[in-house]
Parts: sequence; structure tokens; C-alpha cells
Amino acid sequence: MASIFRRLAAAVAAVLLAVGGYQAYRYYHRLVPVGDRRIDPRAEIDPRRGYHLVVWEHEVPLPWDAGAHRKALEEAIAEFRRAWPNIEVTLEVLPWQEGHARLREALAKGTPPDVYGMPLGARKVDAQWQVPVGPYLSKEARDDLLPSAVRALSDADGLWAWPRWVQPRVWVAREDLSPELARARPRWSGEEFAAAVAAVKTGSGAYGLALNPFDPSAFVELMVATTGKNLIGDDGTRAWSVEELARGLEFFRELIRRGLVDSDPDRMARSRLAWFWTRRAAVVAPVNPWLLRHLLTRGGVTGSGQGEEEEPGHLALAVPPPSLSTGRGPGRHPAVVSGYAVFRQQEYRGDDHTRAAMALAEHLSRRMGPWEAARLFAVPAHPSAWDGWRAEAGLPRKELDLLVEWARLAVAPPLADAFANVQEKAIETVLAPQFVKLWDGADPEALAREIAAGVDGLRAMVKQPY
Amino acid sequence: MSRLWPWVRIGAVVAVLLSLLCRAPVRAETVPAQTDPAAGCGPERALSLHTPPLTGIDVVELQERLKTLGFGPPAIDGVYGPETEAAVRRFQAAAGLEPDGVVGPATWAALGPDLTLPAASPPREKPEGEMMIVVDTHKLQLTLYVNGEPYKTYPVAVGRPNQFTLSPVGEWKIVHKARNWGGGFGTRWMGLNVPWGIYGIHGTNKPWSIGTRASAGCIRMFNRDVEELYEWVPTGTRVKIIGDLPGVSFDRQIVQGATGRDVVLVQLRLQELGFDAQGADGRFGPNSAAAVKELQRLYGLPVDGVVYEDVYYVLGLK
Repeated sequence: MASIFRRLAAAVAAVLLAVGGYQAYRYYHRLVPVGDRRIDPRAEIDPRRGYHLVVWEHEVPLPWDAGAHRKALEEAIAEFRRAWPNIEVTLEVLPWQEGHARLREALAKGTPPDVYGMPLGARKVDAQWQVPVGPYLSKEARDDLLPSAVRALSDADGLWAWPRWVQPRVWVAREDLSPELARARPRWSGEEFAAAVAAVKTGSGAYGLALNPFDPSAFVELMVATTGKNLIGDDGTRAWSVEELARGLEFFRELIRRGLVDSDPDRMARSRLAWFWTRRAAVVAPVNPWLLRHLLTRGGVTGSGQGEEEEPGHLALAVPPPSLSTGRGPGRHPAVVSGYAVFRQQEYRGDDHTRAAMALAEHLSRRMGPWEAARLFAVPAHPSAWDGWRAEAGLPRKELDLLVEWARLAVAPPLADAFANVQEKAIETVLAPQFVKLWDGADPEALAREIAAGVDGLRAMVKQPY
Repeated sequence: MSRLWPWVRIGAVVAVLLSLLCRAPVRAETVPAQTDPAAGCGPERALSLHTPPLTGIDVVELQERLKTLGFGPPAIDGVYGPETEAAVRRFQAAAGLEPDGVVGPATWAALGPDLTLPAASPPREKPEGEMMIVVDTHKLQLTLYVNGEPYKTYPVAVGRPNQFTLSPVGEWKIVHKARNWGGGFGTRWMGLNVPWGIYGIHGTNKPWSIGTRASAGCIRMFNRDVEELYEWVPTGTRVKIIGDLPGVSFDRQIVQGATGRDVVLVQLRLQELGFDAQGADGRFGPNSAAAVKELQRLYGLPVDGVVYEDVYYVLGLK
């Protein structure tokens, strides 16, 4: 009898041990490793405890509405504080062209801000202090995110920032010079593009494309649309082969040879807007969000639609960079994906503090995403915000639909900070000086080899992605 | 007498140089400025019948005043012809002056004898603090600001409404002050650093013109008012002139060192768009170039600090 009890007790103890072990395993498994810490993402904000969060945000310059961005940020934070009165928030707005260096300094000291806004493209900056966002995403929150935004901000270890908006890079065309330009959207091949701009040249004598030859962004955008990849891939290696580079360069050389692009790079770089507005050029590239706003506003597109049916007769229309790909797939679109990153500090303040920072970052991404997207011709990362964004953006419905379509196909620069920096450096110091040589009659294949060697040399200097 | 003679000669040379400077204010510039060579306020000249006849806004102003007083020539055409001379002679005779048809200081003074100035408004105490003058050419008012707050407002006359005589819209500084130049400048003169001509805030011997658009671009005040303001504001005081700048073309590239009305408009537009050109003084210096570079960077244009064609488009000036 006694042996039965002993066996029973042993069995119960074994079960309890197994259950306890399993629970311990599950608990440990759901902890998020960040540097030397493992953070429990299920930790809750304690309403009885006071928190203090620091937000660093870059001021998005809106020359036509000075101070509006800061005001919107302050309102968003005030709204957060009404929901969480026990959480104090200190906002520091950083100048547009600074900030990242300051973040690096703070990371080196182990004192980054809790929340860091990255409007120029969110990145995984630091594996030791940056907290992955994925474990904090509820199913509902995940379902309300544009998949392309999640894809752009994720690597094998998870999602690294709260997506804010997706900004498809576009070129701008005059509809009145060539109806084909408008009909060719939302996607077109290199051949279709060349045929359309050649028709403009024949019909009106205008240049088909007015470029800034000293800025290779138009070339980069064509290459991303063609290959679906950035110059530097997620693994840190050069993603464009010499053959692909040569093909892209050959496309532009052919436009120059056929007189569809001006042969004088200096003149064109400084006069492309003038030509566009005086019907001497049909398409302008590259176009950043600020220039896009200038073009669409002056072209009568903004403020004309308010999300309703498109009105005819717009002078300027956003068009996608052409793709040289012969495949029949859905296509890819070059884009920038903005987001909010969350960091822990060396002096760790607790899992509930991290949870509070996540709550603030999520709130800012939902609140600032649509606000900024409406002003920068981007698409909010949260589809639930699209109705309000459509009303506020002041674009015709067709333009908004196109933006969404392009955003769904977004291909963003590398997530890893070091690789993204290599890409930026490569574009500035390798692509830019080589691209303009096309106007001197340089051979695309030789240029492609030069570019590949230059990019590989730069890449070799970076050992670690973070 | 012989000891004084060198000083008299020096004085005469200075007077001639000053006169030349007033007549041709922009010729020393090395960078082409978008200016009218006769821009600004020159010293008052004597008007009389000449061949060819004298013309100008001083003749217009004379004709208008004669007409108001009932002596007027039939046409206000800015030409000092025989009819204007006859009107002057009639006026001089009626005013007890020698009817010689020559309009000098005595005749100008006689043209406004019965004018009753509006009562001087308070405050009359010298203010303390940082001063700034704002001239609103639409309201025909000059307001003195102290520490950002309006302290006192005066009526003024501003430039006539054509592109060559409009008051210089922009942001300037008082760069020199002088007393009792007399004639058209009245009892006080405060010169502005406008690069394309001689402009200033001054008194007048034509008090009837205050509250109108009558000058060649300068800001005229009652002598009583300018004497008060003169004592209050130091050299270096900022003067902002608000108004229209019509007829400015944007055909040239603006590089560092350029001056002109087009530069003022570029600077004002840069400021409106949030790019700090640190003033709108019509001189395109390093601060303006830095602001242009910032704009070029933001809009993805070639960055060189030069206002070229596409920069005009982004600024909305073309």
C-alpha cells in the first residue's frame, strides 16, 4: 500500500516538475533578448507607478507650414498623456539633418532615448540597445499594418520599428504633353517609357525626360523597380550584378543618344523645372517629397480632389520609375519606410518601462503616420487610418489609389544601419560620379564595372551590420 | 579769410561728391544689380524753364500743389514747360515773392504756408529697449516698435506708385544720421543701407504731402515728427518697409555679391518658406547663399547657393 502511495506521489511530483519546467521554459522563451537583458513583453504598465519617457524626433521640414510638425507632435504626446497621466514624456526635436550622429553617441554611452523617430527610413541601428517590436504587437495591431512596411522593417530576428508610413518614390509627368504618360500608369516597362517620351519629342519637340545628372537617384529607382532589390542587399553584399548595372546605364545612354534627354548635364540640372513648366520637358526625375509637393501643387493636383473623382487636365502627375524587367510578376517599387524605434538603456528601468515606451511609439506611429503621410505624399502604415488620410491629403482618388498600390510593392533600403550607410555612401561617392559620365559618352559596361568595384570596395570596409 | 579758404574748397568738393553719389548710387557695384540708375531721393534741384524742359516727379509734385492752390497748369505731366512756368509766376506774385519762375527753397516754403499740422500724438517720452521701425506703405504709416511692441505711429509720405519711385520694400538699417540738410530733406535725415539707391527717412518742406504717395521712394515725415524719432533711434536701428515690389524680373542668376530688388524678393520668399536668410536687405551675401543651399538640399536641386532658374520656380517667383 505504502509503495503505491510512494509511486503515486512520485508520479505527481514528476508531473508537477514537468508542468513547472514547461511553464519556466515557456516564460523564458517569450522573453526578448536585448543585449545582456531578457525583457518580458507581457509586462504591463503599472498605473500606480510614475514613468518618464524621452522621445527624440526629427523635425520634418514643411516650409509651407512652418512649425506645424512640432505642433502635431506635441498634440500627439498630449493625447498620449491624457490616456496615461502617470507617464511623463520629454520631447526633443532634432534638426532635420542631424540626429543620427547624436543617436550613435548616445548608444555608445548606453543612454539612447526611449523612443526615436526615423522619418528618413527606419533602421535597425543597434542590436544591444534596440528592442524588437514584434513581441509587443497584438494580432489586431499586426493585421492593421501594411505588409510591405512590416517586411521592410524586419529581418530574421523580427520587426525593429513601429511602421509609420511608406513613401513610394515617383517621377512626375506632364499629362498634356503625352496622354500615354498617364495611361501607362501604374507600371510601365522601359520600352513603354522610351516610346512615350519619344512621342513627346516627335510631337512637341520637348525633351522626354529632364534629369538631374548629378543625382543618380533616378537610376537607383529604375534599378530597384527592375531588380526588386537595393544596391546593397539585406546580407550586406552588392545586389546588382555588373550586367544589371550595365543594362540600367544603357537605358539612360540610349535616351541621351536619341535626344530624349538633354546632352548638357549642367544646363539640365538647373533648368529641369523651368523646362517642365514651359512645356519643354515631359517628365522630371528624380523627385523627392518636397519637390513632388511643389510639382503637384503647382500642377493643380493637390487640393483638387479631396479624395473624390479625379478632375481632368492636371499638368503634373506622379508616374512610377520604369522597370527593365521582362518578368510578369507584380513588380516592385522603390520606397522609403518610416518608423519609430524603441531603445533600452544601460541603466535598465524595467520591463514595464519598456512596455510604456512601446505604447508611446505605437501611439506616435498611429498618430503621426497619417498626419505626415498626408503632407509628404506617403501612405500611412496603418490601413485603418486611410480614410482620414485620403480626406486630408487633398489628392484625387486615382492618385491616392496609385500611391497605395505602389506602397504595397515597396522595396526599402537595407534595414541594417551599417548597410544602409554603405548604400548611401556608394550612391554619393561611386554612383554619382560615374552616372554623369554617361553624358560624356562613357561606355555603360565599363561604367558598370567601375561601379561594381567601387561599391565592393566600400562594402569591404564594413565588418558588422550594427 | 585766407585760412578759411581751404575748408571752403574741401566743403565744396564734399558737396559735389555727395551730389554725384545721390544721383548715381549704384555705379560702383561690381555685380550687376537690378536697379534704375536714378533710383532714390536726390537733393532738391531748382526748377525753372530750360531747353529741353526739366522733367521729373518734383515737377509733378509742384504742378499738383499749384493746382490744389488754384494756380495750376492745365496738365500735370511732369514737364516744366511754359504753362507751368506761368503758373509759378502767378503763384509767386500772389505770395509776395519775386515772380521769376524759378522754384527754389523760398517758393517751396511758400507753397504750404497755411497748413495746419495734426496735433502730435503721445507718447513723447524717449523709449528704452530694442527699437525697430516698420513702415507700412499701404497704410502710409511708420511705427516705432520697442522690444517688439508698437510704441508710436506716425503718418508718412511714401514713394509714388510706379516701379521706379516705390519705396524700397525690404529689411534695412539706419546707417547714418544728419541734421538740417534743408530743402526737400527737412530738418533731419536718417539714411538706409539700400544697395540700389539713396533712400532714407527724412523731414520735408512739403508737409502737405504727408499721408500720400508723393516721394521718389524715401519716407517723408513732418519735421516735428522726424525730429522726435531722430532723437530716439540710434544708428543701426532696423527698418522694415512693407509694400509692393512690382515690375521685378527674375532673369539673372543671383550669386554672392549681387544686389537689387530681385534679391529682396528672393530673401523675403526664403524667409516665408522658413529658410533663414537673416534679413532682406537686397544684398545676396553668405547668409542668403546658405539659406538657398538649404532650400536646394531639401528640394533635391544641385546645391551651390546660387539662385538659378529652378530655384526661382521652387520659390514660386516664376
